[in-house]
Amino acid sequence: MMGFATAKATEAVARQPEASGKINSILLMGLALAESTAIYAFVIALIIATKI
Amino acid sequence: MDGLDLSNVPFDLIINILNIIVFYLIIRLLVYKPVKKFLSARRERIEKEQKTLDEASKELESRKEAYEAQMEEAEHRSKELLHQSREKADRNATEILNAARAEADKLIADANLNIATREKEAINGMKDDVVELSVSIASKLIARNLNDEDNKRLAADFFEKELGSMKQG
Amino acid sequence: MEITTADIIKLAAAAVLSVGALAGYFISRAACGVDPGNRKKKRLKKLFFVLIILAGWFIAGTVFDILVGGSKGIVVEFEMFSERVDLFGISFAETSLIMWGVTGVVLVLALLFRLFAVPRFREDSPTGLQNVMELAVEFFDNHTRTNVHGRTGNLSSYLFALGILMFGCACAELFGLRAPTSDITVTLSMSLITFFLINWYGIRNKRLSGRLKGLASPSPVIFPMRIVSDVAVPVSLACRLFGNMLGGLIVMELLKGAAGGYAFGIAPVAGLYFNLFHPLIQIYIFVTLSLTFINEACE
Repeated sequence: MMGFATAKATEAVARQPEASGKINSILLMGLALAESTAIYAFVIALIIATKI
Repeated sequence: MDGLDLSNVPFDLIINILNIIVFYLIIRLLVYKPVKKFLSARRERIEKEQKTLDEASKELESRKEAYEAQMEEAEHRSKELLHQSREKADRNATEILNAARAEADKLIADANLNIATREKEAINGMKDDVVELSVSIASKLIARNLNDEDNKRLAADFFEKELGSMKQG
Repeated sequence: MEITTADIIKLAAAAVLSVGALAGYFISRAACGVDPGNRKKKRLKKLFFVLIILAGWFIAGTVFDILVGGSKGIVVEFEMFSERVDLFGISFAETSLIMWGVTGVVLVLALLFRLFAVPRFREDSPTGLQNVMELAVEFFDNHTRTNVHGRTGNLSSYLFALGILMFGCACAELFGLRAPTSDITVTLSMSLITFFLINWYGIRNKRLSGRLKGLASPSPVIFPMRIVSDVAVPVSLACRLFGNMLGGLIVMELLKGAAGGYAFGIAPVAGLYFNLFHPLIQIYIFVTLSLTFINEACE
C-alpha cells in the first residue's frame, strides 16, 4: 500500500518537478497515516501479550 | 499477571495534564510572545514601507498625468491661435481687396465725370469758336462790319438750335 | 568478571589490529608529506585512518564485553507501563519523573533564551538562533492559519509548546532514558487536551446547538456513529504516537541487546533515525491532524 503511494508520488513529481516540495510533505503525511493502522494492531497485540 | 494494572492511570493522567499546561503557559510567556512580537513588527514595517512606496508612485503617476494634460492643452491652444490668425489674415486680405476695388471704382467714376465735364467744356469752347468763325466768315462774305453783339446773338441762337438737334440726333 | 580464552584471543587480535593500523597510518602520512598531491597515497592514508577507528571500536567493545558479561541474546524486556518509583510516599511512574526533568531543562533553556538572546534580536535580517526560532514560530502560525478557518486565538502557541515538549522528550531518549512519549498515559493526556480543544473551539465558533447539529448533519440517524467516531479521534492520536515511539524503543533495545558490549559507537548513530527524525515526523503529523479535526469541528 505504501508502495502504491510512493509510485503515484514519483509519477506526480515526474509530471511537474517544481511541486516536488509539496508532494514530498504530502507523501510523508500519507505514509504515516497509512502506517497507523498497523500501529493500532501492534498496540493491541501488546495489550493482549502483557495480559498473560 | 491477570490483567493490566490500570489503577494508577487516572492519577498519572492528571499529573501529566498539569505538567503540560504549566509548561505551555510558561513557554508562551518566555518564548512565543517575544518572537511573535518581532515577527509582527517586521511585517508591519514592511507594510508601511510598501504603503509609502505605493503612495509615492501614485503621486508620480498623477503628476505625470497633469503634465501631459498641460502639454495637450498648450498644443490645442497653439493650434487655435494659428487658426485664428489665419482667419484674421484672410479677412484682412478680403478687406483690402474690397477697399482697393472701391477706390478703383471711385477713380473710374471720377475720371468719367472729368471726361464728361471736359467734353462739355470742349463743346462749349468749340461752340464759341464756331460762333466767332461764322461771324468772321459772314462778315467777309457780306463784306460788311457787323454789329458784333447782334450777330453773335443770332449765330449763338442758331447754333444752339443746331447743336440741340445735333445732340438729339 | 570471567575471562575466557575466547576473550583473550579477541583482545590479542584487537591489540594487533590497532597497532598495525596506527603504524600504517603514520607511515602513510609521512610518505604523503614527502610528495603531496599523490592520489594513491592520500587514499591509503584515509584507509588507515578508517582502520584506526575500527580498531578502537573493537578494543572498546571487547573491553566492555568482558566487563559486562557478553550479550544476553536477543531478549528484550519491556513493559507497556513503565516501572514505578516511590517518591514522598506516592508512587509515580518513571516516565512522569523523566517528563518533569525534560520540562525543567527546557524551561531553564527558555529562561536563558529570554534573558540573553532576545535583547540581541535584530530588526532587519535575522541570523542564527533568531532565525531558527522565527522559522519555528512562523511554521506553526502559518499552519494554524491555513488549516483552520475560524477564530483560533491562542491555539498556535499551544501547538508550539506541545511541539517543543515532544522534541525534548525525543532528545531525552538519546541519553538512554525511556522516552516519556513511549508511555501511553503521556500520549493519552496530550490527546485528551486536544479533544478538549476540539470541542472548545467548536462551541466557540458555532454555538453548542450548532456543534450538536453538525454532528447530526446529513441525517439524525447517524448521530451515535458520529459520537463514536468523535471519541475515537483522541484514542487514535494517542495510539499512533505511542505505537511509533514504542516501536522505535523496541528496535533500539533489540540492537543493544544483540550487540552486547559492541554497541559502543553504533547504537547512538543508528538511534539517530529512531530518536530524532522519526519523532519529528510524528510531531508534524500530530499537529496537522489536530488542526484538521479542529477545522472539521469549526466548519
